[in-house]
Amino acid sequence: MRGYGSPSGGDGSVFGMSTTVAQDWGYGDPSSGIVNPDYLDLGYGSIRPSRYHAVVLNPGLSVMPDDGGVLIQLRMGQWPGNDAVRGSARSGPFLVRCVNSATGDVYPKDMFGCHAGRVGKEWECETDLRHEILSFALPPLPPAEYDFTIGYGGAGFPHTITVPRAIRVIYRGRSSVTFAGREALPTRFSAGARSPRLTDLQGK
Amino acid sequence: MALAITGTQWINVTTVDVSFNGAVDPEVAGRPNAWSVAATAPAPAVTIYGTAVKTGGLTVAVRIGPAAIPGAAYTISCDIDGNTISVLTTATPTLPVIPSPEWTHGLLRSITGAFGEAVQRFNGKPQTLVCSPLKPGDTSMYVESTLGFPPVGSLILQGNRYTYGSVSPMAFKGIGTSSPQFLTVAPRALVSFDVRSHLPD
Repeated sequence: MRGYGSPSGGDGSVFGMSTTVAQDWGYGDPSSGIVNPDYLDLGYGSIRPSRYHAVVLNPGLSVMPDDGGVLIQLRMGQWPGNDAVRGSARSGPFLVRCVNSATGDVYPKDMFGCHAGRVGKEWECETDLRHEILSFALPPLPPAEYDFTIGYGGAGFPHTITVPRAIRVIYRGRSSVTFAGREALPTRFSAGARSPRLTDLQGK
Repeated sequence: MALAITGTQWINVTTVDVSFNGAVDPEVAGRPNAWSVAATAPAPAVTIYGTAVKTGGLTVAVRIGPAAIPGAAYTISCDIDGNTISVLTTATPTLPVIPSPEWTHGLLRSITGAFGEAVQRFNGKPQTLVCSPLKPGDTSMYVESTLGFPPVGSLILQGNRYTYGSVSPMAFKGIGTSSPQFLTVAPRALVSFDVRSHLPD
């Protein structure tokens, strides 16, 4: 049975394709919920898979430092509202995690999710008032490629948006100001390496 | 018998042992300038930034940075006496990922680190450290990171100005200098981007 509004051509093919099993035929279709991103039908009642969001979101591989602390802003047309009224309240909470694209390791290890970058919010990430920008702080990560997984939908975060290969992490840069600042402190304070010659090289 | 690579063994995401069918010259194969690596798409580019010839000269420990992708394929090449020897190797899918030992920060260490990083971002001058000895005549400079450096530009290292033509994650390629370099630059020397060279006249 194909639901209301089904775009069948009457000859069994749809959009020129003979394979129709994976289609979501919208309202009235008993097979709705089986969604193949290769055969997207985004008509009335169509279940929009999270991968669709991911394709929209991913602007290309961005390079980030391994010590984290960078405020990431993910922009899309409209983030899920979570019952918040657009324009008057931020949408949230979103649970954002970084997943190693190759090994599947989930980060951050020492927190439930990435820090929201807002005082008092901890891992409960939020959008802006227009529900267009979701922001969070990048945790420290070993050099690799990472996906972002964004959970939403209330308790248990039943829905997930995945941004595949969102960032690439390489070693951080250095700052001579850091060494100069430490050098100005009394040596009784444990402030870290006071000279580049005394520091540990990354990757050694 | 011509020198050839007989096999590779991945130790972790940053180290791979390359075996030869004969002893290699440590003065040549023991320097990262003789080596290169090409990642097979979609794996991102990596850099060979350090090498060490093991006892007997049959095996060379190659350091790859910032990290290889487990399961990805890489072509590792070594240029010895004008002959390029290559091997296609796949990083073991179960390679262990090494966490950074610097993740446990003290209070003052964190404050000074954050302050220095903020000032550096404000003045817009990326800096990094040399991670492999730079000898006179070298065409590549191996550093910890090229994060924030433009693809082409100039560097200041120990008072000398170097130009570079391209970057990889841990190296400046095609370096040149107007003032002759006589001494080897040791690792941990601070490299700064020459901002003046990047600004419009």
